[in-house]
Amino acid sequence: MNSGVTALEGRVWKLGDNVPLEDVMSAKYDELATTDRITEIVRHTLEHLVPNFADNVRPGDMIVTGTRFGIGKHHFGVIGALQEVGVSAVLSESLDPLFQRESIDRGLYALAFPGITSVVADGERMRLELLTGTGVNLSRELSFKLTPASRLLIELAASGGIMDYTMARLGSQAADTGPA
Amino acid sequence: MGATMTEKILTRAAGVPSVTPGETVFCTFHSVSLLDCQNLGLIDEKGLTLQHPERVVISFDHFIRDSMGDLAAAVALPRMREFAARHKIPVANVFDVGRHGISHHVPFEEGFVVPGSFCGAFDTQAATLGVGNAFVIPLMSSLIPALLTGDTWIVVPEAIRINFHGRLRPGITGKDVYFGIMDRISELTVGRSLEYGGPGLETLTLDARMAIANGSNHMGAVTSIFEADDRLLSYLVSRITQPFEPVVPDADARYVETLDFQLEDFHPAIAAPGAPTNRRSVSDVLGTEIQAAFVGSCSSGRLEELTLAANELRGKRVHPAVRMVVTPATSQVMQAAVAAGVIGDLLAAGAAVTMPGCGACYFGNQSPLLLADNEVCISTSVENHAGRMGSASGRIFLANAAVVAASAVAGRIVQPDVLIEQEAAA
Repeated sequence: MNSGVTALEGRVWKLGDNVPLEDVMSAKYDELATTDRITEIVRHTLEHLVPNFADNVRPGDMIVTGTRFGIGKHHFGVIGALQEVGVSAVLSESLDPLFQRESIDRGLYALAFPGITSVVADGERMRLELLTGTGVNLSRELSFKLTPASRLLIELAASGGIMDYTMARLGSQAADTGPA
Repeated sequence: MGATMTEKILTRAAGVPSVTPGETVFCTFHSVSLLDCQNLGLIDEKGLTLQHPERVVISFDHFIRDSMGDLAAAVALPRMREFAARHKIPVANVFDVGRHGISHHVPFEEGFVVPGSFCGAFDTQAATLGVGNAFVIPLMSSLIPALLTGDTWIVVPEAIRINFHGRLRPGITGKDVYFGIMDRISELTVGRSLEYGGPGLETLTLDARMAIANGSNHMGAVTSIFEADDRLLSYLVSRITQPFEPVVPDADARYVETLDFQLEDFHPAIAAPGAPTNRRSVSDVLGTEIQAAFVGSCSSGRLEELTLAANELRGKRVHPAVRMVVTPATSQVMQAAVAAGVIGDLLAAGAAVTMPGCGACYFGNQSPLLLADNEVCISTSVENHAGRMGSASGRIFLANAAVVAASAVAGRIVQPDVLIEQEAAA
């Protein structure tokens, strides 16, 4: 969960183009994921693409990817595992709409920032203000400006996800109409 | 400037004068489809009510096996019935055992997906319902909020226009079309909607259109929308009683791409184990021994595919080293297949025909097919990742129903007779 934070700072794990969800978490762990045993599968996150990722990732780290991230059928362990290891955002040139929907709904930033792969390299530290698209590559002390993602998507994820956002919406609607 | 079908439907559903690709809007649902193993406990824990219970459809389809905790059918089905009753979902909207079927097929058969409407379904394969000239998205974690507010957020997608020409050859299904389109344009489809039409549309059965739309999410597309034609409208005339207004794209609608496909050009396609994108031709994998064969799922469990399998099996026997399981997508498909004599042909050949639903596609479902270690399966179903249909060491080839049935007889992957005969005649 993001607790309203829309300015991210952390280390970047950079992946390439066309990373399917299967490479983030294999579907063979679906049974554990769907029966609330996500902690048992976290160590398999990105295991074939980034050896020892789960051991080395730190809370606040960001994943930066190229085009078409998250394609393929949704697997249940993917988002839970990324949140469990503390990944703060998946920032991509472009990403799969269902992966984005489910990530945003569950309070994980999954946002397209075209140009992001050209401003930061694997292992570098980055600061990024999601609402404005302004950022700094802290490792190289270089400022950059990208087209910001949709404000509503950022607010949805920042609020903790669709359920918390909806409760706030329902609460404000109830307040608008007053007591029955 | 003119509008795409996507823009027209989302404009209507958002209640705004117009929408622009890239903007995020809230759209109101015409209907929301639930499956049988939802956990909706949060709604009752918080004492909340549904915005439009009359717009909710529930179809029993997965029938999850006992080892899967509180998803298991033994607890989930009673829970869904109680939820429906408590929240005043009309009993006619609950497709319980006997009227049941796949939750992204039944709403189309039963008139809950209306041309020109915006609909949602929990399941990832929800776009299958785009056959009905509707914009339908998978909801997953958006489901409970959708029930509470009657709407959801959506980023308005750019659309790709696909025009069909000509007619499919016998033995080629919608699944082959989806695979063929994915092969050609998967670089273009991520985050976009696919809008289907063209002069060849009228030759495509509704079953084929469902199988094509079913592939949307594997191409990274938001959804698929088919134009409404006479074939669709005559199917719906007895199923939808309310007035509705289909959408057609404006002549000057702005598409990011407009592509033409000749239906005669599609071939039987195989996906090798690992992912639907591992594309092969039948000749690439010819002779691969199999132990299991499945015809069914939301991709290919309709009358057209069952008939194709039955035609291939008639007068033959499933190989003694192979178990073949056929699962009709819905109760309506089962009834039609019985009436057409298709089920008898399948049984006579030694296939098992199960109760309708999702069947063997997903390891969590009750099915007699469940793969054991190192078994090889050929299947018409949706996905072929390791472990999808049972043991993680099982290997799954995806193919159309004719290829699956012919391979079940041979005990290894072969070309179906329907295609061999055409080649001989050519």
